[in-house]
Amino acid sequence: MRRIITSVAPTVITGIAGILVLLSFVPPLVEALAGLRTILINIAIIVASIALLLGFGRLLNWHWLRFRQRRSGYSLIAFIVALLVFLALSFERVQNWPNVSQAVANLPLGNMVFGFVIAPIQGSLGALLAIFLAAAAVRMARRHRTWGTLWFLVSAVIVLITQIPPTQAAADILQPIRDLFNAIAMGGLRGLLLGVALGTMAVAFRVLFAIDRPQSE
Amino acid sequence: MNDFIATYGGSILSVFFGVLVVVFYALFSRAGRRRPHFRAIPAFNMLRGQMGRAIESGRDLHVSIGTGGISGDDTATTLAGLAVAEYLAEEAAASGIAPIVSTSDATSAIVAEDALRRPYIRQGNLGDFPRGAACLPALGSVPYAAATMDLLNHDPVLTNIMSGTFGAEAALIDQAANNNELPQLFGAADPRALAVMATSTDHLLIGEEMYAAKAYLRAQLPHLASLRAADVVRIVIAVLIVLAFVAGLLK
Repeated sequence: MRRIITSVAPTVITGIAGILVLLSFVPPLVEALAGLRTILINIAIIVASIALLLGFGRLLNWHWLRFRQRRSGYSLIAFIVALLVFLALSFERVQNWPNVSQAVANLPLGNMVFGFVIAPIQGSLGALLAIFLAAAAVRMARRHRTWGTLWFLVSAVIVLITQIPPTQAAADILQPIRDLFNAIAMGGLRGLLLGVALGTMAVAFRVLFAIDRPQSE
Repeated sequence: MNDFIATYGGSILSVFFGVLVVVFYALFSRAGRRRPHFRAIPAFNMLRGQMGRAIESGRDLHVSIGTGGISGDDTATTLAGLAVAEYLAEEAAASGIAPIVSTSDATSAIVAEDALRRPYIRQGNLGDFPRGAACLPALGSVPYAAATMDLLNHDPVLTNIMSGTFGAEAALIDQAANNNELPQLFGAADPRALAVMATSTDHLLIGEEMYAAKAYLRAQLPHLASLRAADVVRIVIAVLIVLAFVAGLLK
């Protein structure tokens, strides 16, 4: 009985739901299965929402444990702030009841949290990203002195300069080289995307036909 | 013709792929037949024995499965990333130590915890499973990168393995790993993340290589069959592109 609940049932449900959603994208069946697809997607959204709630508990638990094990003081900050923001936004949401369709970011407190705390912090991390990328490029040049590294660095410099050219003359000289790099990069990108699409298809096939069973024992 | 390809092309390719998987599975499972040979991917060699080294050194293996969930576009990428964590959990189950698996998506965290728990169930020592091995340091890609930087800076980590959905924020995690001189393995499908990580590690799983993790690490026949089918479909698509190009020139 346990095996049916933990292994067989999840596999069968996943397979049937997956195949139905897949078939609903096949042209002759689009209209016939559109309603069923909507129902299945709505169920998935509800399950994902419950998972988000559980995930929030997991997040709090992880940071609390790290703080108790004296691994990082930042975890205590993350724990307290996450809890405060959750309580404050929940309170604001309850106050606006039953107007639940309004986005959190449009409510005054939500707007303050997202606009004055989260967005600036993420923006500053984004700015750091540029510096880290430059540091990574320097590290690469020191670690590997190959033709590939040279190619990588030259193309990065040319892309940077042509993005905001210092003079018109520089733009005129470098733009054809940039176009060449773009053409080569586009070819590589398409090859990469083709591989990703086929890989995705292979993983989907294995899950649909129960070769891989990430959802069951 | 173009309309026909746009409407039915995906369906035809999917059916063709499915048929090929079945054909290759039948071929590979014939008694006495040698296993198919695939090109070597050095990054997978790095994974072998990592768990043993972690146990010997008393440090942790950090496996990040990225920022994707299992209810959207990134499902396949996340599951492919999870294959690496599963492989390491299999190695670890006998010792009672599990890799630290992190993600920024709540649905992925639940699936990851389950994937880590399964080898312990198979080996009959569920009591040793360290609960909470799949952690959720933050929700959202940039906060997750920041929290993972903190993890790499403060926890005793031996190796940083990242395989899943990542964007340019991978550079932040990479910086922390480099500051702590951690060896890294990185697999992703996003060209931005791959470009960033190409600067710091040689152990890269580029696009399709990441999806082949199960076939390379477990070498079970259905996985090998799906990998060979993907190779054949890729060749067919490449030939069709060349033919379309030539036909366009001749028009």
